[in-house]
Formats: sequence, structure tokens, C-alpha cells
Amino acid sequence: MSTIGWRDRLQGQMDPELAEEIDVFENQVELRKDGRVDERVFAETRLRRGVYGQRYDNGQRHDGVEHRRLEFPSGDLTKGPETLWDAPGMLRIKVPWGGLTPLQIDVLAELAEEYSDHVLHITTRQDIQLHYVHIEDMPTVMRRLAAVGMTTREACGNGVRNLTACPLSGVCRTEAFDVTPHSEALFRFLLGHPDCQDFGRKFKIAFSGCADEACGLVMMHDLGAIARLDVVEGEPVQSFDVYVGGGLGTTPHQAKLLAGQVPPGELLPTVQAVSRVFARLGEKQNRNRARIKFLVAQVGIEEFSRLVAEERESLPYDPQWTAHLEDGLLPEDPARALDTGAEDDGAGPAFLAWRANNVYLQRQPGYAVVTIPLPLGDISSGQARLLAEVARRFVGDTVRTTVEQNIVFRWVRLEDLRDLHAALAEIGMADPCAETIVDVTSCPGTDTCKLGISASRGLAGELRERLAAKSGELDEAVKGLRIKVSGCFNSCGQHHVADIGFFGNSRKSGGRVVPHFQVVLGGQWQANAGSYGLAVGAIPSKRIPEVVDRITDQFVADRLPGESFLDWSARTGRKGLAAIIEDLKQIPDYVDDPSLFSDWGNPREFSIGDIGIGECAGEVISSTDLELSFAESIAFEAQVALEDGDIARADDRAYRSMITAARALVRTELPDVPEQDEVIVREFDTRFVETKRFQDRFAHGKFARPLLERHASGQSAATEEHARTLVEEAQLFIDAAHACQIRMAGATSATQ
Amino acid sequence: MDPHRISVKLYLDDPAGLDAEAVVPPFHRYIREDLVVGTPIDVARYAHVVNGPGILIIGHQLDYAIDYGEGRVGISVTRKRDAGGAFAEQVRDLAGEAARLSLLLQGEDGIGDAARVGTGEALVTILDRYEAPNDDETLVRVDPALRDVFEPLSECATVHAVRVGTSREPFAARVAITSPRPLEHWAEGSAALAR
Repeated sequence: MSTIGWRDRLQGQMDPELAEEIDVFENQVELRKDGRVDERVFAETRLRRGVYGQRYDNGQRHDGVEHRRLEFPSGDLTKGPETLWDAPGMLRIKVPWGGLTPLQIDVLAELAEEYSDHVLHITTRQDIQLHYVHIEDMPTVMRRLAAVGMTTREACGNGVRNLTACPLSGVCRTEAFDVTPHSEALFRFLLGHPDCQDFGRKFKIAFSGCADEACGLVMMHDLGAIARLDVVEGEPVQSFDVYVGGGLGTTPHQAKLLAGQVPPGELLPTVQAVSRVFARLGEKQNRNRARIKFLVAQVGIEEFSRLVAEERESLPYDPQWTAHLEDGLLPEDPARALDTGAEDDGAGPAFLAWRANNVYLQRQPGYAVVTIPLPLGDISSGQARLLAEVARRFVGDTVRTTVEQNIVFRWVRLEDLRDLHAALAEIGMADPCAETIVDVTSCPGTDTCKLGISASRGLAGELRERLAAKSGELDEAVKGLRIKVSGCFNSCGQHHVADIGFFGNSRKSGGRVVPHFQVVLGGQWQANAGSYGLAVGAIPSKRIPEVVDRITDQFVADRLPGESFLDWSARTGRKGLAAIIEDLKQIPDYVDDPSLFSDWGNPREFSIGDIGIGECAGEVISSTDLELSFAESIAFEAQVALEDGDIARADDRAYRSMITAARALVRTELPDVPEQDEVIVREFDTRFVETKRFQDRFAHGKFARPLLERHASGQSAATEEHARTLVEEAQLFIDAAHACQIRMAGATSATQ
Repeated sequence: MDPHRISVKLYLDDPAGLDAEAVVPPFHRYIREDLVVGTPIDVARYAHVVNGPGILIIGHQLDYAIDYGEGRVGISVTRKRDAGGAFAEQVRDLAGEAARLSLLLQGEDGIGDAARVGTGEALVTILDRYEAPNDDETLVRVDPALRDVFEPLSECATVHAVRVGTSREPFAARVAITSPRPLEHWAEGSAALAR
């Protein structure tokens, strides 16, 4: 078997610690097959090595007519709770700060061919994912990656995930200094670090060289460092502003300043101290509240900073904190020295369009960064090999992935631009859509993710195709907009920071379930993901292209001279934005337009899960539907109040909307439920929360908590941030109520 | 030789005639109606990837694809898990499944002849660089098996296999079949798989 062969062949060619890790994991695989390792233990083991489950790995799939069991040869053997052994999995490969070499690309291409579906997928965190990989192939894949310096360690699970950094680090015209060496040092320091093994949840870190540009998007990360350069007594001094407690997910938080002007030598121990505090004080039982953003919100940033400082004082000295500084921070070398240093004159329209969008002039004269857009973040193994050859020819090892799911070549000589364009065009990789609205970002969604609700990739692909077809006619103000799509509320597509964002959800109509996307407008990509967008309504998935058309048309018609989409969105307000697309919410009868009842790229009738039996409800609109619709209206009032700065009203409306939705569910069993909040909450808790009927298998009961806590406390939100959180949680509560209603009606469900 | 992943590809007669997305509904139906074997799991859409795997029925043991690899569109079937049996037997089964899929798709409204594949040429790929590096030695090892498979599919039992691709690519042999038998004859070779 080639498994043993590869182990022997690659012996001595990788970091010994990684080699041992992989050997241990391989042993765990064998022990699990023999039933000598508990499935939960094995699940955590594989997650900490980047081995994820995929959709249908519970052995169930709805084929559009009925549920079918997937019969795998290994029967009921599992690799985790309800995750069948033979079911395909996903392997996430860390690419710290996005740095790749042509050799690594070659090996990734080999692995995609031999163990996956011939496709490398770049994620929104600069990782690379391989899908449809069998668990028994994972150790060999890990070894072949380790032999070229790549790891999957802690790519998943409750640890430090991939460390991202701006792909322009070191060549950016506006950066304070190159954060790459510091990113690499922190990545190496934290990988497998004992202080990072006891987190209650994942931990994501980002580096930025600039504060004002999008850069590393620090503000939406658990921890981030923004480089700064100050002049002290006439001398330039480098340091970092360290931020903590940001995050997207179901309720996005902006990171808070933990410590300003942290010297480079103090960065690693500061992060280590943060890790210790998080491990010690972070939530462990309730996974829905276990991210560090909740801890920071709970104790407050000042107290959190004090705790970190206190922890820092107790840390034993570690020479690794400054080893990278003592060795000297070597800058990246260009593969090709300048010849003329100037671009050639004269070129066709294809080159000029590509030059305008895909080329960024570095601060180093004579060089540029070239973006190679990958549709939906995908590249085939054959293309990857060809791209690696092009990289060798023009830039050597200076290749990076980006969070926009593309690849960049750095240190391209200006005099090589035309030849590079020709080389990329020859291999079908010269799409001139970088940094434009055509380059839609998406998470995997229902294609492969177990949590996906709607077809994010299907929608992204459709939008990309339509926008590319009319890109020549688009207004300049529209061309530069960003569209991002998430398959569910977990925000892996980063929809919160898009100009036009979408996240998947669903609604019931006439006894069937209709895929929808919530529309989120006016997120801020710049200023390190400076602010998050406004949710303006859920629209059937098949109508989203029309949403894009209407919103962009209205923007062009309304905008003031020079006004950005962000500013226009804020000026128009949630109510105004919602009005643009309000009529698109209406769902016709199935017989009048069945297309709305399936999702993009998937002819199967839509379902929100692969468990359960689909059947039609008798009524077109039930009283429950009416009440939930009323609850949504109240929730919208809360959002408007928040926008108007009326915190008290926003709090009241958010609370009211949840009470209304809860009453709608209670009334399905207790039609004469009294109107008192106390009774409604008690009945809701007893009938739906304690019985776990309100929870689904993935979100569990987290969406019930805001109502129960708000009711128990009896206190209004004290700050705008608290009110904003409650308003967002209220919408999610209502979405969960819809999903609960669907399950109750017997439509296909994601719950047990 | 015991490679764990093998693929056989037959090429469309009319490369420009088939809209890849048109096979998505039939592919879902083939899963539902058990018309494909090897524990099919789902349909994967990669038509947006240049020279990529196209549209696939992804399964536990087999992947079926409208495949755009090497810039030529065809129908490929890939064996992914070791199912036992000699190399020749596996290649015969895969060639038969590719032929069978072509015949199935030819029966679909809106697809028809666009899914017809030729039988004068086949690409056999071994996606296992350890067992089968892309070199002449591998070709020497597999050539007898390729003859065992494809000579019976030739009216005059004449086939010729050449190795294609660079050493970086997986081993692939392009097999030219003189006077090939009809596609239906090829499809009979998948009978063992379908049982």
C-alpha cells in the first residue's frame, strides 16, 4: 500500500515534531477503526488536525423526493458523533499569512488529484481546503504536506486557527512596516503551544500593516495587530496596536484596543498572556458563548487588559519571544532584478483592462503585485501546476493567497507585465475582475458544509456570471463594490463587511420551504473591517440577482457626488433600503413559480436538512405565520429605532418581537395563552426550550437564550452596543422560530 | 501494482455541443434512481473552473464526470477506493461505466447526441504517484493490462498506448483503438460493477 510507502519515502524530510504528530494521528485512526478510541475523543483529535466533516456525513441525504441512507462499506463505524467513517471529509490546510511557494502548489495539486476532486479551494482566511477526502488517506496527505513545510495542525477545533495577514505586507505603499516576519514568528510560536490547548472555542488572529486600508481586517478578529510607525526623538519606532474581542459569526463584534504601541519584542508574550486569560476565564460549557468576544464583552476591555497585563507579569521568560528579532528581519527578495524598470508601451484592450484592475504598484519602484482571480476560490490541479510554472518564471516564491479567495504574485517587474498577462491568458487565468463587483466571495455553503442553509456558491456563481456579462456597462461607482455570500448566519463568507452581503436562511410557504438570503448592506471593508452592514430583509434566493440590480441602480441614482456606498447606505437608512426590495419578499404559490422552491445549481426541491420527511401544510397562511410575520415587523422597528439612536425603544422593540414570536409558537399548543410576558416566556421555556424543540442540531439552543435572559433580567440595554446585540439576536430568534415551525409542520429539518 | 485511484476517460464526439450544466438534473436523478453505482453521494459543480473536473457525481467508490481536464471534454469515471480485482478488471469496469453514462445521457431530452463519446480513443490515468510514477517503466508494466482491456473492444484487436504528460503529472496512457466496437459493447463491461 502506498500509505506505508509514502511514510518511508518521506522519513526525515519534515519537522520531527510534525512527523510525530502525524504518526500519532495515524495510530488514532487505526485505534478508532478497532473501536478502541471513543468517537468523541477521535472527533476532537481529527479536528485539531484540520480534518472536518462534510455534508451528508451522517449518512442521510434528501434526494429531492425522499430521504435516503448512504450505505458505506464500513457500516455504522463513525469518526465522530453521527459522522460515518467512510463519508467524505474536508481537510483544511493552513497557509500562514497566505505565503505559498510553487513547490507547495505542485504538491497541493498532486494531493487534489490523488485524494480529492482535482480542485484546490482557497478560503476566506487564506487557507486551502481539499474536499471529499477519506479519513484513512488523511495521514498520508498530511505527511506529503509536511514534507514541503505545510501543516493542517489546529486548522480546525478549539485552538489557534490560520493566522492571516494582508497580502501586500512588505510591498504596500501605505504600510507602517512589513508585518510578515512577525506574523510568521507568532504562527510558529503558537502552533501547538501548551497555553493554547484549553480554549473553549476557536481563536483567529490577523495582522495589518495599515490602519485605514482593509489590510488584515483586524477589527473582525479575535485578536489582531496593526503595525504603527512613530517618530520618537527623531528616530522611527515600530510597534503594534493590539486589538482583541472582534468577530463575525451570528452576532458580529468589533475588536477593542487591548494595548497600544506594543513593542515587537512584547508582541508574542502579550498574545501568550491573552491566551492564558482566555483559557482560564473563557466559557467552556456553552459553545455558543465561548468565543473571546463574549469574555471581553462580559468583563469589559479595561478589566480584560488588566488581566492580560497581570498574566504577562507572571509569564516565565521564553527566548522564542524575540528570537526572530535577534536573527534579523530579512525582507523578501525579488526573483528578478530590474532591467529597464519600466513598462512597455502599447497593448490591446484585454491587457489594459487586466492592467487597470489586477495590478497594484508596489512601493518598491519598478515592481507590482498582480492578482489572479479564482472563480469561487477554486483552481484545478492542472491549472495549479501551470500557475506554479508561471510563478517560477516570473516571481519565484513570492506568492500569496488572499481572503478574497484569490492568488497574488508579488515582485512582478513592470517590464514583465505584458508577458505575464500573456502567460496567464494562455492558461485561462487572466480574468480582469480583481477588486471589482464581479469577484464575488462565498463560503462553501450547501455544496459541502453541514451547516449551510442556502446555496451560497450557487448564488455567487450566478451573480458572477451575470455581472461579468454586463461589467462593461456598469457605473464606475458600482464596479468597485464588494459582494460576499455566506450560506448561513455563521458568516464564513464575511458578509458583514461587504458592501452587499447575503447570508442564507429559509422561510415556509404553503407547506414547502423556500431558500432565502438575508440582505446585509453597507459593511465597511476599509479601516480593517471598520463596521458591519445593516440587515434589511430576507429575500427568496432566486430573486437575489434582482436585489443586486435594484440596490446598485438606486445607489447610482441617489448618490451624492463622490458618495461611497457605505455612506449612501447609512444616509438611506435601513427603512429606506428595505423599501427598495420589499416587494421581492412575496412568495407566489408553488404552481405559479416552482423555481423559487429550489436553490441555485440544485434542481432538488429545497430542504433545510436531510433528516425528516417532507409534507405540505394544509393552510397557505396559518395564524402562526401571521404572528411570526408580525414579530418580524416589530424586529424591524427595533432596527430602525437603533438607527435613530433611540436605545430604549430599540431594546423594547427587540424584546417585544421575541415575545411575539415565542407566543406564536406557544399558541400552536395553547391557543388561549394569556398575554402576560411572564406566562408566555414560561410556556415557551417549558414547551420548546426544555424539550429542545426550539433548537437545531447545529445551533443547539443558543437562539432561545436572548429572550430568556432579557426577560429574567428585566433591564433595558444600557449601551448602544448592548442594544445592537439584542436587536440582532432578536432577528435570529425569529429565524429560529420559523425553523422550529417548519420542523413542527413536518417539513425536512436539520434537527433530530 | 496496486494503485488506489484509476480513471478512464472517453472523449465527446462534439466537444462544443454539450452544456455542462444541462447534466446536473439528470445526475441528481441518477442518484435517486440508483442508475449509478459506487455509493453516489452528491453532484459537484465545477464548470466555472477552467480545464477542471466539470460536473461530477461524487461517490464513495466512484466519481462520474463530464470532465474538462487537459482542455478536452469527455466522460470520465474514477475508481477511488480499493475494491479489489486486478488492474485490468478495474480499467475494464471503468471504461464500461463511462460508456454506460454516455448512453444514459444520450437518452435525456435536451442532451441527446451531445453526450455521445467516441470509442477510438481512451485516456487511462493512474492517480497514484507512489505506485505508478509517470515514466516509461510504468507504461511497460501496464501495457499488457491495457491490451487485455481494449483489444476485445477493437474489431481487429489492435490498440496502441502511449504515455502522455510530464513527470509532474499523474501517469496517463492514451490508448488508440483501431476499428472500435460500438459503445453498447463497451457498456457491457460494466455489468460486474452494476451488480
